[in-house]
Amino acid sequence: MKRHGRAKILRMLALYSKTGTKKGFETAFKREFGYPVKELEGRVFKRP
Amino acid sequence: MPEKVKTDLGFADLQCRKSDVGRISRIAKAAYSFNRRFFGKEIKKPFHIIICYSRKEFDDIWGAETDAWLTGFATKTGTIVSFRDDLIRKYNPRKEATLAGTLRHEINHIFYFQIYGSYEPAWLLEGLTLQPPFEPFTLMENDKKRLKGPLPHLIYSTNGKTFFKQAPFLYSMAFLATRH
Ligand SMILES: [Zn+2]
Ligand SMILES: [Zn+2]
Repeated sequence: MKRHGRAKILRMLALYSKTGTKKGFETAFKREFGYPVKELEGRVFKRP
Repeated sequence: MPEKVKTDLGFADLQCRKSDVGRISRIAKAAYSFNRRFFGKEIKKPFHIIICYSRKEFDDIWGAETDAWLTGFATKTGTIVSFRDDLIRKYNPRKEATLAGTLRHEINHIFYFQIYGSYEPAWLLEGLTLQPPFEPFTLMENDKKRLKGPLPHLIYSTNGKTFFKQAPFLYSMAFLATRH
Protein backbone atom coordinates (compact mmCIF):
# COMPACT_ATOMS: atom_id res chain seq x y z
CA MET A 1 0.00 0.00 0.00
CA LYS A 2 2.92 2.26 0.74
CA ARG A 3 3.78 2.35 -2.93
CA HIS A 4 0.42 3.96 -3.61
CA GLY A 5 1.16 6.79 -1.20
CA ARG A 6 -0.57 8.48 1.68
CA ALA A 7 -3.01 10.52 -0.43
CA LYS A 8 -4.50 7.41 -1.94
CA ILE A 9 -4.80 5.64 1.40
CA LEU A 10 -6.54 8.66 2.95
CA ARG A 11 -8.87 8.91 -0.04
CA MET A 12 -9.76 5.25 0.34
CA LEU A 13 -10.46 5.77 4.06
CA ALA A 14 -12.70 8.74 3.31
CA LEU A 15 -14.65 6.58 0.89
CA TYR A 16 -14.88 3.79 3.46
CA SER A 17 -16.12 6.16 6.17
CA LYS A 18 -19.29 6.83 4.15
CA THR A 19 -20.52 3.40 5.26
CA GLY A 20 -18.08 2.43 8.02
CA THR A 21 -18.84 -1.24 7.33
CA LYS A 22 -16.47 -4.06 6.46
CA LYS A 23 -18.18 -4.43 3.10
CA GLY A 24 -17.79 -0.70 2.52
CA PHE A 25 -14.10 -1.01 3.28
CA GLU A 26 -13.67 -3.84 0.80
CA THR A 27 -15.41 -1.81 -1.89
CA ALA A 28 -13.36 1.32 -1.17
CA PHE A 29 -10.14 -0.69 -1.18
CA LYS A 30 -10.90 -2.33 -4.49
CA ARG A 31 -11.88 0.98 -6.02
CA GLU A 32 -8.68 2.81 -4.98
CA PHE A 33 -6.10 0.06 -5.27
CA GLY A 34 -7.59 -1.93 -8.08
CA TYR A 35 -7.54 -5.34 -6.39
CA PRO A 36 -9.47 -6.99 -3.52
CA VAL A 37 -8.09 -6.53 -0.02
CA LYS A 38 -8.05 -10.32 0.35
CA GLU A 39 -5.34 -10.39 -2.28
CA LEU A 40 -3.18 -8.10 -0.19
CA GLU A 41 -2.75 -10.89 2.37
CA GLY A 42 -1.44 -13.24 -0.27
CA ARG A 43 0.86 -10.59 -1.72
CA VAL A 44 2.33 -9.54 1.57
CA PHE A 45 2.80 -12.70 3.51
CA LYS A 46 5.53 -14.24 1.54
CA ARG A 47 7.18 -15.16 4.81
CA PRO A 48 9.58 -12.52 6.10
CA MET B 1 2.94 10.18 45.23
CA PRO B 2 3.14 13.63 43.56
CA GLU B 3 -0.22 14.92 42.47
CA LYS B 4 -1.12 15.35 38.83
CA VAL B 5 -2.21 18.61 37.27
CA LYS B 6 -4.38 19.22 34.22
CA THR B 7 -2.97 21.46 31.48
CA ASP B 8 -4.97 22.76 28.53
CA LEU B 9 -3.04 22.31 25.28
CA GLY B 10 -5.87 23.62 23.09
CA PHE B 11 -6.35 20.41 21.12
CA ALA B 12 -6.28 18.28 24.30
CA ASP B 13 -5.85 18.43 28.03
CA LEU B 14 -2.82 16.81 29.54
CA GLN B 15 -2.82 15.15 32.95
CA CYS B 16 0.64 14.59 34.39
CA ARG B 17 2.88 15.55 37.29
CA LYS B 18 3.68 19.23 37.55
CA SER B 19 7.38 18.59 37.03
CA ASP B 20 6.61 16.92 33.66
CA VAL B 21 4.22 19.54 32.28
CA GLY B 22 6.70 21.61 30.26
CA ARG B 23 8.52 18.72 28.66
CA ILE B 24 5.51 16.52 27.91
CA SER B 25 3.48 19.49 26.59
CA ARG B 26 6.19 20.14 24.02
CA ILE B 27 6.27 16.47 23.00
CA ALA B 28 2.45 16.34 22.72
CA LYS B 29 2.26 19.55 20.66
CA ALA B 30 4.87 18.27 18.23
CA ALA B 31 3.01 14.94 17.95
CA TYR B 32 -0.26 16.74 17.26
CA SER B 33 1.25 18.97 14.54
CA PHE B 34 2.85 15.94 12.98
CA ASN B 35 -0.56 14.28 12.63
CA ARG B 36 -2.23 17.45 11.39
CA ARG B 37 0.28 17.46 8.55
CA PHE B 38 -0.16 13.74 7.96
CA PHE B 39 -3.95 13.94 7.60
CA GLY B 40 -3.91 17.41 6.08
CA LYS B 41 -6.62 18.65 8.44
CA GLU B 42 -7.49 19.74 11.97
CA ILE B 43 -9.77 17.75 14.24
CA LYS B 44 -12.49 19.52 16.16
CA LYS B 45 -13.10 17.57 19.33
CA PRO B 46 -10.56 18.09 22.13
CA PHE B 47 -9.21 14.85 23.59
CA HIS B 48 -7.42 13.81 26.76
CA ILE B 49 -3.89 12.66 27.45
CA ILE B 50 -3.23 10.88 30.73
CA ILE B 51 0.34 10.04 31.75
CA CYS B 52 0.64 7.04 34.07
CA TYR B 53 3.31 6.49 36.68
CA SER B 54 2.46 2.92 37.64
CA ARG B 55 1.05 -0.23 36.02
CA LYS B 56 -1.84 -0.16 38.46
CA GLU B 57 -2.92 3.28 37.34
CA PHE B 58 -2.64 2.16 33.69
CA ASP B 59 -4.64 -1.04 34.29
CA ASP B 60 -7.35 0.82 36.20
CA ILE B 61 -8.05 2.94 33.12
CA TRP B 62 -7.84 -0.06 30.74
CA GLY B 63 -10.29 -1.85 33.06
CA ALA B 64 -8.31 -5.09 33.42
CA GLU B 65 -4.77 -6.34 33.77
CA THR B 66 -2.70 -5.48 30.70
CA ASP B 67 0.17 -7.48 29.22
CA ALA B 68 3.54 -6.07 30.23
CA TRP B 69 4.58 -4.89 26.74
CA LEU B 70 1.62 -2.50 26.34
CA THR B 71 2.74 1.04 27.17
CA GLY B 72 0.09 3.22 25.51
CA PHE B 73 -3.44 3.07 24.15
CA ALA B 74 -6.30 5.29 22.94
CA THR B 75 -9.94 4.75 23.90
CA LYS B 76 -12.98 5.27 21.70
CA THR B 77 -14.06 8.09 23.96
CA GLY B 78 -10.95 10.07 23.08
CA THR B 79 -8.53 9.41 25.90
CA ILE B 80 -4.88 8.60 25.31
CA VAL B 81 -3.14 6.78 28.11
CA SER B 82 0.63 6.41 28.19
CA PHE B 83 3.40 5.71 30.64
CA ARG B 84 6.11 8.31 31.13
CA ASP B 85 9.32 7.75 29.09
CA ASP B 86 11.20 5.93 31.85
CA LEU B 87 8.45 3.32 32.21
CA ILE B 88 8.05 3.00 28.43
CA ARG B 89 11.73 2.08 28.29
CA LYS B 90 11.29 -0.30 31.18
CA TYR B 91 8.29 -2.21 29.81
CA ASN B 92 8.36 -1.89 26.03
CA PRO B 93 10.41 -4.67 24.46
CA ARG B 94 11.18 -2.43 21.48
CA LYS B 95 14.42 -0.59 22.16
CA GLU B 96 13.32 2.33 19.99
CA ALA B 97 10.09 3.04 21.94
CA THR B 98 9.75 6.62 23.25
CA LEU B 99 7.01 8.87 24.60
CA ALA B 100 7.24 10.99 21.43
CA GLY B 101 6.68 7.90 19.26
CA THR B 102 3.85 6.70 21.50
CA LEU B 103 2.05 10.04 21.31
CA ARG B 104 2.49 10.31 17.53
CA HIS B 105 1.00 6.81 17.31
CA GLU B 106 -1.94 7.31 19.68
CA ILE B 107 -2.79 10.79 18.36
CA ASN B 108 -2.90 9.24 14.90
CA HIS B 109 -5.64 6.93 16.22
CA ILE B 110 -7.57 9.93 17.57
CA PHE B 111 -7.41 11.69 14.18
CA TYR B 112 -8.45 8.46 12.45
CA PHE B 113 -11.44 8.03 14.75
CA GLN B 114 -12.58 11.65 14.47
CA ILE B 115 -12.18 11.78 10.69
CA TYR B 116 -13.36 8.29 9.69
CA GLY B 117 -15.62 7.49 12.65
CA SER B 118 -14.07 4.14 13.48
CA TYR B 119 -11.03 2.22 14.75
CA GLU B 120 -11.50 -0.26 11.93
CA PRO B 121 -9.96 -1.93 10.07
CA ALA B 122 -7.61 -2.53 12.98
CA TRP B 123 -4.75 -3.61 10.72
CA LEU B 124 -4.85 -0.37 8.74
CA LEU B 125 -5.35 1.78 11.84
CA GLU B 126 -2.21 0.27 13.35
CA GLY B 127 -0.32 -0.03 10.09
CA LEU B 128 -0.50 3.69 9.41
CA THR B 129 1.44 4.36 12.58
CA LEU B 130 4.09 1.68 12.24
CA GLN B 131 5.94 3.48 9.48
CA PRO B 132 8.76 5.86 10.27
CA PRO B 133 8.75 8.54 11.46
CA PHE B 134 5.70 7.69 13.57
CA GLU B 135 6.98 4.87 15.67
CA PRO B 136 9.93 3.02 14.25
CA PHE B 137 8.96 -0.65 13.99
CA THR B 138 10.87 -3.71 12.95
CA LEU B 139 9.86 -7.34 13.13
CA MET B 140 11.42 -8.97 16.16
CA GLU B 141 12.59 -12.59 16.18
CA ASN B 142 9.40 -13.87 17.82
CA ASP B 143 7.26 -11.98 15.26
CA LYS B 144 9.12 -13.75 12.48
CA LYS B 145 8.72 -17.10 14.23
CA ARG B 146 4.99 -16.54 14.64
CA LEU B 147 4.54 -15.65 11.00
CA LYS B 148 6.04 -19.00 10.01
CA GLY B 149 2.94 -20.72 11.40
CA PRO B 150 -0.42 -21.02 9.59
CA LEU B 151 -0.91 -17.96 7.40
CA PRO B 152 -2.66 -15.36 9.56
CA HIS B 153 -5.27 -12.92 8.29
CA LEU B 154 -5.46 -9.18 8.44
CA ILE B 155 -7.46 -8.39 11.56
CA TYR B 156 -10.49 -6.16 11.00
CA SER B 157 -11.77 -5.68 14.57
CA THR B 158 -10.33 -5.86 18.05
CA ASN B 159 -11.89 -5.38 21.44
CA GLY B 160 -10.67 -5.28 25.02
CA LYS B 161 -11.36 -8.97 25.57
CA THR B 162 -9.54 -10.37 22.56
CA PHE B 163 -6.90 -7.69 22.14
CA PHE B 164 -3.99 -9.45 23.85
CA LYS B 165 -4.60 -12.63 21.85
CA GLN B 166 -4.72 -10.71 18.57
CA ALA B 167 -1.97 -8.19 19.21
CA PRO B 168 1.05 -10.38 18.42
CA PHE B 169 -0.34 -10.93 14.90
CA LEU B 170 -2.07 -7.60 14.55
CA TYR B 171 1.05 -5.44 14.64
CA SER B 172 3.41 -7.55 12.61
CA MET B 173 0.80 -8.13 9.91
CA ALA B 174 -0.26 -4.49 9.91
CA PHE B 175 3.36 -3.52 9.50
CA LEU B 176 3.88 -5.88 6.58
CA ALA B 177 0.63 -5.00 4.82
CA THR B 178 1.08 -1.24 4.93
CA ARG B 179 4.78 -1.41 4.10
CA HIS B 180 4.02 -3.47 1.02
ZN1 LIG C 1 -0.31 -2.30 -2.63
ZN1 LIG D 1 -2.14 1.57 18.05
